Amino acid sequence: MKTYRPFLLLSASLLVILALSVLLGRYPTPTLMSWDLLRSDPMARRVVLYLRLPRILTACLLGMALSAAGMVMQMIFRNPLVEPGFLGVSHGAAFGAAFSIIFLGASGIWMQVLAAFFACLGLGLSYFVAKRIRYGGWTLRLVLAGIAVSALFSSTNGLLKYIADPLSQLPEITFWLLGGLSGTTWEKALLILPVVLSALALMLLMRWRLNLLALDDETVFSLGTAPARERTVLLIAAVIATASVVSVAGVVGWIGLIVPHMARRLLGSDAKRALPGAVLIGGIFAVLCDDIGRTAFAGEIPLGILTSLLGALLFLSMMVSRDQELKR
Amino acid sequence: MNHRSRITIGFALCLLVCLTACSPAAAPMEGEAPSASTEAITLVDALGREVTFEQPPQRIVITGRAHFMLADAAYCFPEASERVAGLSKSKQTDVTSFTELLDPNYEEKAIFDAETGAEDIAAVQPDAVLLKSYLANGLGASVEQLGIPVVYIDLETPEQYKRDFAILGQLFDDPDRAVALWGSYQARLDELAELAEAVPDAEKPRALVLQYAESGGEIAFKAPPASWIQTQMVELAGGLPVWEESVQGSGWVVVNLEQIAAWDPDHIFIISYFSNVNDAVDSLIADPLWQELTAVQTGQVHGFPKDFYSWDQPDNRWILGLTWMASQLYPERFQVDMEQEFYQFYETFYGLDAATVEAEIVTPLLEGNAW
Repeated sequence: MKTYRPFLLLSASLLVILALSVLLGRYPTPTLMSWDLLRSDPMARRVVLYLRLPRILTACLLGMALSAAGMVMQMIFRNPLVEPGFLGVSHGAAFGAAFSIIFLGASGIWMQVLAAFFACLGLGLSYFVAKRIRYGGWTLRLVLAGIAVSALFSSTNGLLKYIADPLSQLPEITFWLLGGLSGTTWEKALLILPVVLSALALMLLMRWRLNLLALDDETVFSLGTAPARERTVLLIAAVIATASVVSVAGVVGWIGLIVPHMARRLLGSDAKRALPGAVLIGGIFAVLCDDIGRTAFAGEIPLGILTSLLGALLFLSMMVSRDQELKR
Repeated sequence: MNHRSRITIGFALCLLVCLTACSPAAAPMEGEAPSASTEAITLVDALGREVTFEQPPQRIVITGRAHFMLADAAYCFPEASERVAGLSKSKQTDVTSFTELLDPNYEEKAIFDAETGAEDIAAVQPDAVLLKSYLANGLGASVEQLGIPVVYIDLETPEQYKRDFAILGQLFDDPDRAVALWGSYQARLDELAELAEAVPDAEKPRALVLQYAESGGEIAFKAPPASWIQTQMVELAGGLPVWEESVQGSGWVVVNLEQIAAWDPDHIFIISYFSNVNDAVDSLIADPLWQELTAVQTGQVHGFPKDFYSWDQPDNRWILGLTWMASQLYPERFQVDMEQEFYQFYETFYGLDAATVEAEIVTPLLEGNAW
């Protein structure tokens, strides 16, 4: 029971935050909505049912997907600085979304397909380039390759922004690059729900293998595992989950980087515990950030800005923290 | 601090933040609905959708990007001050916004931020929301999720103005007013069409419209795309837009002096949205790099007039901008008293008398060589 206590606490926290988020918003005033109002005001019920619920669900899925993807990538690439954004996944997905906005009329299904395709392409390119670099350790090579591929997609996004219609397309593309959930509907939420849940389920089911896959290939092979195949399966699940949420919410940074670290701090490095912990913490973090972004001011703060701000602050505090001692 | 304490403190903080946010929710606003006819209306909006109202809407919200164009058109109808319940704040000037000047009930309106969300709109309890059509997939979709009817209009081109005035006429239950308003535009367009027809293309003046944009000490010149009203205005005024064939893109395109020199137009119209257009023109005329341009040498660099909004934009004032542009391109053939046109515009469209226009618009705001 002791080993499950953190998970129970995190799950309870997530449920409480989800419940409170349903009541939190700007209608009719920027506070918690009372139950009386929810019962008596049809508009309040519509606001909750059609605006807040799909948005909160999507925020939760986003946090969970990015955290899980970040944890998987950090363990497979043996690099604690990796997150989906660093390896060209997020920017590739954003490019796919921007491409569909400009050339395909921003159709929901095409946006997801193109986002997933270019996300996978981004990851593949980063991995390929890292393999070709002849100097430096694997960590350095991967980070360099990821920066280069992300920069490539960023520049092509800049080109798409240049040719976009500034009245209708450019604001939508800018929204993708900042990240946000303001236009979330049930249609979008239900479109990504099965994809993200499937990818999460796969990553969670294979979390025991992650500890092995974090080792070098010879060791993994000697333990009876096919490392290349299993890493590929996990990475595809991570990329698909990331691409799905990016296609709906845009580029939301730092969740995939900081939340895995928080989970490891709280629950240990064993992926058996850290991965589900990261999923829960990611959901909590994303929902809280979105609550602040949509409630604090009349003009909504893009989600990506808040996750970057709070994520960076948390990251800094963790880096300078003296809690972790080296055991000699 | 061990990790268990950290979790506990974190959870307690979350709970504390949420509890401090608890407060009795304010009762929903109740607007006073002016008396209205009870006939149902069905209109077809800019997206071709049929929107039906049991009775003409009494609480209209105007918001979203470029909302000021919608608001300026809506307030051409006298019913607007009673029926507009909320609108976004936005001004290209530092003084009182135009709507504040027009609407004696402005203080009672709900005023939104430029990027307001559907919940803030719903709090006003509107029975109709007016948006630009390119917001249909974003804000419009969210508002419609709440069961609030949305009417989309564009107001980007002369043809759209004709259509959208008719839509507004239905919305405000004043179709005669819509016909009269468009009639004013049509009369001027017909007059200029006659002028343009009488001049062969070879004799038409070559014109260039540039937006002057200064940022961080750097100055950029931007040309509008072919589909925008700025380009159409040059053609309607009987000019030849020199950039039309070569400037590609959907928005303002940066052009350098080399390209401007290559075009070497007869007239250059300078637009400046966020700085003084007279200063912009003076600086260009004094710039040695511009001295060799024909337009500078012949004194044909014109600052596009602006008051609350620049007259080049697809705001109601584009008819003033068009009239003024034609008077610059054809000073002999098209002689018009711009000062009279200006005062007549505000009286016809907004019911503002000359003294109010002089005090609230001309003196504090008017820039450019309008007359």
